[in-house]
Amino acid sequence: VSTTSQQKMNRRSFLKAATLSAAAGLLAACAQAAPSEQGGKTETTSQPSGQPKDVNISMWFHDFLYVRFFKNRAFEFEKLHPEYKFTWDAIQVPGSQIADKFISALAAGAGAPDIGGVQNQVLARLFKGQLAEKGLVDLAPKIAAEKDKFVCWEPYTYKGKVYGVASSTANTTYYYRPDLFEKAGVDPKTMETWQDFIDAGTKMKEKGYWMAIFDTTYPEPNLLDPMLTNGGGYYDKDGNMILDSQANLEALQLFVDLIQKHKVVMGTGDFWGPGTTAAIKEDKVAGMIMPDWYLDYVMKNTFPEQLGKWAAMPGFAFKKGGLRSSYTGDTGMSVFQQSKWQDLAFELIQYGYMTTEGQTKRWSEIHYFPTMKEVWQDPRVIEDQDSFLGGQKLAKLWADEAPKLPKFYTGTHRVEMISGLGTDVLVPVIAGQKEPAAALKELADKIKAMPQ
Amino acid sequence: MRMNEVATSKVPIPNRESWLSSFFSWMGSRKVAPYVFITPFYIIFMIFGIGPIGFAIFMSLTSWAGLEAPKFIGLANYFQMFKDATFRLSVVNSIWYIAAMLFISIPLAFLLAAFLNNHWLKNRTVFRGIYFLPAITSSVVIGIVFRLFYDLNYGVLNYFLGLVGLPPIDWIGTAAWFKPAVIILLLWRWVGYTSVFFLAGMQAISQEILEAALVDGANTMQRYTRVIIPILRPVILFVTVTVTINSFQIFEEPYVLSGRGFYQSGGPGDAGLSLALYLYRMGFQFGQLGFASAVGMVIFAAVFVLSVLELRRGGLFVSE
Repeated sequence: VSTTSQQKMNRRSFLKAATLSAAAGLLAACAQAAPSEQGGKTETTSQPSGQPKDVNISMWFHDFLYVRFFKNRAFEFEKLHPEYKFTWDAIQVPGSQIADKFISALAAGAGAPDIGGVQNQVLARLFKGQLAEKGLVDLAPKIAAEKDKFVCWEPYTYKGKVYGVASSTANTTYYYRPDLFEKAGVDPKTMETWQDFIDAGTKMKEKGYWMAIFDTTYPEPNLLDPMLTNGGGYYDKDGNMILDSQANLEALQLFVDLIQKHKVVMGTGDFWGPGTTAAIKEDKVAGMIMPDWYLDYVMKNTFPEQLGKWAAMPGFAFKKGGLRSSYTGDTGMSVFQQSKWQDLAFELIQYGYMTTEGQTKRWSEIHYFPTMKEVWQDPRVIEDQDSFLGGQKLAKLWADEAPKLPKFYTGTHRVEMISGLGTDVLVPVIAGQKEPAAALKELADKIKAMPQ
Repeated sequence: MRMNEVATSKVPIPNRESWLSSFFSWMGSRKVAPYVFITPFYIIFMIFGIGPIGFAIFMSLTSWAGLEAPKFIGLANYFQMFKDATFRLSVVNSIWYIAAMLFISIPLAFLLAAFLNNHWLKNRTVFRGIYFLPAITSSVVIGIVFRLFYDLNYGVLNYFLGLVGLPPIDWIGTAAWFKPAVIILLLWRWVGYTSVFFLAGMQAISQEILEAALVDGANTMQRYTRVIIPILRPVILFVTVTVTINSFQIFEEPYVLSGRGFYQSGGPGDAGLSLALYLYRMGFQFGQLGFASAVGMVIFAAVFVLSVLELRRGGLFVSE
């Protein structure tokens, strides 16, 4: 009898404990985290007087260069704010995952970093569903006084609100190999227009060199650049979609002709794959038409053995005297509304990205060209020699082009356009299944029919 | 002592201990206790299982892109979906994947299991481990390795094609070859995993039955067709249903092979776009969360119908 009684007692005790635990767990789970009531300001939690306040700032970037740059600035920033005890959490998130992570964190209302490097294509996605409006801090009031000192606000502006500070002017550049041109007896410096490029390419091809490699399944930057320099793009300044404009059609035709008709550009569906790397390493490619970031983010890390063998010049114009370079996309630094330290987060961005010192350091450390106009002629920038480019003063080249860059306007359907230009335009047009004009028109109509 | 007794009798104090005790003893009673024990599971299942499904059904009837309020639009998402050529393309691609998994992967897995089940094979565990390895390898690593493997100019596959005089193939750069490239990757990744189920089934077959077949004069082929396969019918059914369900959800393989991540994950010309990738595109990339939920509902319905058909055909619903 006593044993049975003991067993009953144990079971009941267990049952009580289990029920209470479950109830406590449920209550805890149902309890909502108290929202920040700082109204976009830095949190002002009580702290013993005289003690530095604990501040934890997290940052997500897809590009390791931003991690490096902001870590360096963070240590300097600490010294400017002895009233805070900072903890920095700057991480690199794989480029293929960062967009999903931002969207998930914004939709969930939790888990976002304080500062995020939001690529401008991804930002366009956040314009939908009020993710940007309700998830990112509108920087317009904060930058208003200094806005005109900088370029490249347009890719981060939507309905009058500014959601990011650009990392560079992203100038399209023709990185080329003077030694290969020399072997083919071609003077690359005489090239200005696409026709010059084709003429030079014909000679280079005879020696077995491609003039460049283009991505045949993705429009940025190789198709986007001629679209922009030709006066096209995705949207006009009023926010109207101009995808099927004549300028874009000419750019598309040029793109296809360079690969198929003139055969001076190597087209690949695996642009970021090993084939591209191997072709460059094996000296089969005489150049790459890419934005400024390609140099430090890719070339110096992937082809270190080619140090000093490269040079840079602007891209190519449709006609003499035409635009030779464009902004084809970079990463903007955004502050998330979930941040408890919005003001401090913006202050750090401001310190790194919106001061003369910050911009020159950005140039010297990670080589992203200043967006601040007055820095373009700063000797620390313009006189800087790049050893990978054989000592060339790269900033001088970009400083000449930067004032002429066509404005880049963005909108809610930019991601659909990127995807569609690859899938519904480039692939079928190159395969001969669609005419360029029909493909562009079809895509434009498809996007217009999408929910706005 | 006497005073205390008087005080107690005058002021009735509710005995908290006693109602708590009776509540817990009621919960501990034979009739109630089982329900109490299973309640936590059902609460969690409701929150994380039924709740999201119900929410997804509701969302599929709305136009919703994120943080703003969803707008009820009835069945418009479904109508739009069936009109969308990209959806139809993803259905066709998924059918290819399902067919490849059912008609190539399962027979290969069976053959592999039969090979591993041979008594003369030494270090069977090592082989089993090797064949299982692709299933647990990181998809990022798989993506990098296979893109190297398939590379037009430097890929191992094209090297072997060259050895037999065949021209190189742009496996992942052209629409025509992207799907076969995904299917090869799928087979590499899942055949070994599937074979483990067959191997477990084969090893559970009594040796006496197999020896009896041998004594009766059955050759190897007859032992498989007349004895092993009929006995393994429940395993085959399980594998078929599981593979069908998983094939509908193929996502990682075309995603990593395309190497595009967020922006363009279906391969050139969407040649590898599966239904799950289409859902991801519409939800995450294009921000049409209501539409993506509708795609999810269609996938669920298709998986359900196909699984029931397979189970019926497999004899699960046949009354004894």
